Amino acid sequence: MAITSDGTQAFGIDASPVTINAVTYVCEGMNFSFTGTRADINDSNGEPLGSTVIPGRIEVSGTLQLAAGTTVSDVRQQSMTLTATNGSTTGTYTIVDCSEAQSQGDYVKVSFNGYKQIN
Amino acid sequence: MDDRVAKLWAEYSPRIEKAKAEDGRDRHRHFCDYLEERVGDFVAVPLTLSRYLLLSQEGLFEDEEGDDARIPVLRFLWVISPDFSPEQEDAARFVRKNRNIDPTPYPNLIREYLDNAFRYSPPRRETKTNTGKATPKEWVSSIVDLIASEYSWTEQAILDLPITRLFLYVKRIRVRLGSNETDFSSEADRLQAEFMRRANEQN
Repeated sequence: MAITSDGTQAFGIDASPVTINAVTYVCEGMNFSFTGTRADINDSNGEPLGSTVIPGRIEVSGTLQLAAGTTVSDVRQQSMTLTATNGSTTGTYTIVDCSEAQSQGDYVKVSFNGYKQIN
Repeated sequence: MDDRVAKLWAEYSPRIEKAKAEDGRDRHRHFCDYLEERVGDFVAVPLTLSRYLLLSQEGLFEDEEGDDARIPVLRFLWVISPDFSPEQEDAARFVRKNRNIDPTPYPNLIREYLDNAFRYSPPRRETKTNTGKATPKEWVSSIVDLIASEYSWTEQAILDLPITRLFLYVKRIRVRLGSNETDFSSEADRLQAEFMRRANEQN
């Protein structure tokens, strides 16, 4: 069956500006995961009675290009604000873990994982 | 994101996307054997590991007979020439044939050729040593070891492959083995750095 696209949902954002502590960075190769779990209720014979889907957190991974002169490449626990074209991923994310900084020429990048803050 | 940054991003975003698309095409170019590479007026082959090793031998560029700036340039061009052979006589013939060369533009052209060969080299880790300086290490054996153990190619086949291709394979292997490898793309990175500088300077 062919995939049907509707609306302007962005599946993966190639590059986008983000803000950390009022400094603008460029974030690349972002991947979002809209997690969820299913809770099942069965009767005593094991026959399904019903299920509930509980939406989980929105997880994100990507690569941050650090601005010139940025000395701190450990971005753990930082709040990262993203204004994307895709409404459901717009918001503030907390960075959970990151790689050590990697550089080529004058450019320094850090890979990270994070999740969308609830409020 | 305020309006000013959004406007700036609208200006940079298509340029960054274009640079990334061009980078992708450029990577394909390194796998095509039919495209001719040139250094100034001379036809060159893509730099292979074995030619790189020859070029890095101490004393290769010293002119024993004097201080002729053409000699080191011609020796470099000979090693990267498609006609290269290890025979002294062939090298001497190449030097004789091209001795009227103006060497002035060649240091820059050669630097460009070498930068191009190493453009996909694995990113440098930022972790510094106690002295703050990175120690130069022998890296050829680690490339041969990695590719030979993954693809079972012979040592000679690996040494004869262009360095650009080898580095692209090394990246694929590392990603497949689970390494968190960051992707660099020189022109797109430069544009992104320029965007960040402009976005942050007016804050």
